[in-house]
Amino acid sequence: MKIIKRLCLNGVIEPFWKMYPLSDPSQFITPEVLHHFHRLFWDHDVKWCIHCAGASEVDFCFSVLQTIVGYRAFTEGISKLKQVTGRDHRAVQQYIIGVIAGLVPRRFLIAIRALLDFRYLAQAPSFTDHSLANLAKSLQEFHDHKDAIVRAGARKDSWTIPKLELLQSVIPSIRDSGAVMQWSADITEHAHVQEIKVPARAGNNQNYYSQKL
Amino acid sequence: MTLGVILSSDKTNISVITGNRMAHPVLISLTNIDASIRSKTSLHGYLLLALLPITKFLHKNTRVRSLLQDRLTHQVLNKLLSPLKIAAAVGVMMSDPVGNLRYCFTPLASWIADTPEESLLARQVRRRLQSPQQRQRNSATHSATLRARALLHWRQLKSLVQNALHPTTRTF
Repeated sequence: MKIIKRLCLNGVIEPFWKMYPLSDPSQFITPEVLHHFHRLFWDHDVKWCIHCAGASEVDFCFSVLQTIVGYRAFTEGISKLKQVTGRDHRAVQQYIIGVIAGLVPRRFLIAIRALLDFRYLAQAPSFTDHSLANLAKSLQEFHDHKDAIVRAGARKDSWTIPKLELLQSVIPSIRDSGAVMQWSADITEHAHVQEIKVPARAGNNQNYYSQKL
Repeated sequence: MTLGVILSSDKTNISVITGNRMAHPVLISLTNIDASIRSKTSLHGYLLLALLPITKFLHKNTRVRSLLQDRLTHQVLNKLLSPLKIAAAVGVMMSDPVGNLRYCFTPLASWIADTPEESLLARQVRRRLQSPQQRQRNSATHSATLRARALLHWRQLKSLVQNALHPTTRTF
């Protein structure tokens, strides 16, 4: 058990992809937009911004934003939101740069903006060498400017964020198995609802498994 | 021709108000279907392949229980995907919509899941994600022998796979 733990493995000795030609977990596990990009933004970037600019200030800026039809409004601010959906994460992403501009140091803003750039560029439906170079450049730009985030006191000097590390594997993965957006989990999560929950509710609460299959 | 298989799994709660019923479905799809069509739920690009067992083990140690659950999941998936493995290794003849027989291979192209499930599949401890390079190192012991045997095969097919995975590729 201890050896397993040291190697960061979970102790499965016969993985299902053993003897499966052309299939390797380093390839078929693709970066995934909903959990890796949007959650990373919400869990870390927003925390940095709130820490740096001040919760009340950020909330105030969000509350006075002109609401555009079709866009989410945050009249109560964002620092006290609970049970936030992926859609809200994206809405905050659209506003955040405008909100924190002027409140935070310039290099801090560049770091956040570079990371956002990376996210939006990575969601393109198809890629060329040129756009991949741009993608790499924006990630590099973040890493060049991330010292500003530490300097602002928003993050202690360690950068061991697993999801941030995963961004390094986005470009190899795009080269390997195509655009990232098609592997986004929100589509399949919706499909799971369609395939499982809808039939389950149509039934009579008896013998779920036999009725569905 | 290459038929990249896409699998997706997610543990969900199916009961509406009462009860604590969980389901762990696995959905299957195909890379040759255009990405825009696959992402429309109403077009049913993803089909229900199986429901994975959710069990309660009696062992008193929590870590052993989760270990057993993980192993069980892998065993079930192994059983479930064994026809696909054979088809990926030696190929199968399948007819396309026009009726022509085609020699098909079915490598696993992508597994779409949330982060804890991904780490389960990659045999890692939860919350400790590794980079693909590290994963490759860990999986190397298993795939090394296989790869040495099938290296020639691999090189021929790799270009095919990459072509098939390009999002704009249309099959028919």
